[in-house]
Amino acid sequence: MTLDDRETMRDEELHGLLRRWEAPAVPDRLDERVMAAYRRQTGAGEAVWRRFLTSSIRVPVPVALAVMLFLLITAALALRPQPNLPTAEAPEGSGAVRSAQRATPVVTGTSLAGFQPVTEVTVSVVQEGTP
Amino acid sequence: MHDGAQEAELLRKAGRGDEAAFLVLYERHRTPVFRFTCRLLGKAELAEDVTQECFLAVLRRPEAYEPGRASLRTYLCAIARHLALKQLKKLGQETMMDDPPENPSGGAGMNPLRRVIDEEAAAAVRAAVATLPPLQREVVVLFEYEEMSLAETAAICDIDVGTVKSRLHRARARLRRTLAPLLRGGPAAVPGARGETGP
Repeated sequence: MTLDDRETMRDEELHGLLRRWEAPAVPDRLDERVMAAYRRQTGAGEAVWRRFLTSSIRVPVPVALAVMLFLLITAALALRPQPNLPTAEAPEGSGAVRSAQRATPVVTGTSLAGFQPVTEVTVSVVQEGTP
Repeated sequence: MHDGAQEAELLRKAGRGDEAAFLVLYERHRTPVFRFTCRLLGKAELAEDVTQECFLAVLRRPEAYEPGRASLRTYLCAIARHLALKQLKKLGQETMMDDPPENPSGGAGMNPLRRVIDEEAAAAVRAAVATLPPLQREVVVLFEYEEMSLAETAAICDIDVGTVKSRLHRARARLRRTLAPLLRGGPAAVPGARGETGP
């Protein structure tokens, strides 16, 4: 306040009367509220792990949708059944050989359980051309 | 008066989460900001909300404060004014009135009759200020109660000094008429004040 201001705008009687209305003091609860709000806003006085767990980021909706779409397509491609591909060992022969290989079940193990030697052996010779 | 550059630095630190810096600024300026909004709104609860929002708003963009243009107190009051007027607009009212606090000056030991007279005078002043249009009320609160200069009042209200003077003049004339029974000089004491209305 400059002296000029006060001199120019002097109205001491009214000013004295107006000053009889005193504003209430700042309530203690306001200090607590403001400090709590300040900590929430800036994360001051908060543990790093807590800040990490409660932090959030703002992502524009189009970006979020694009990321979700990308993830869905990637997941769908990964879960799709794979077509049988020729192995490296397969001979480069005809397609019929490869089809036969695929049709024959592959024996992956044998067992001798229930095996018994034959009691009587009869040998018969079959000539070529005989029915 | 505090150094503007130093307060700007404190503000930047507070914005980065330096609680000690924030406390210095808050304790320095909370009372004028709260008092100003309380007198402008006429309701302590709303004044608390506005004061809190005012300090948080400043911290969201600490770089917006330019110490060369105004003191931090002026800057805070300008933000508080903006928020308070928004509140009034939202509530569709020009002012609200709390019940006056009991014995606000804590006049224990005072003559009971004198205390009653003082309380009545305070209530009358409070009611008279509350009936002023908001644009007149804010200049009265800033100039008469917060002891701000015409230039500071103009900066806070975003108007020129001439407009502050004219609003102050009209507000005083109105207050003189309303509070005439409490004034020795009566309503005509403000020169050229009779019959003036408007913001």
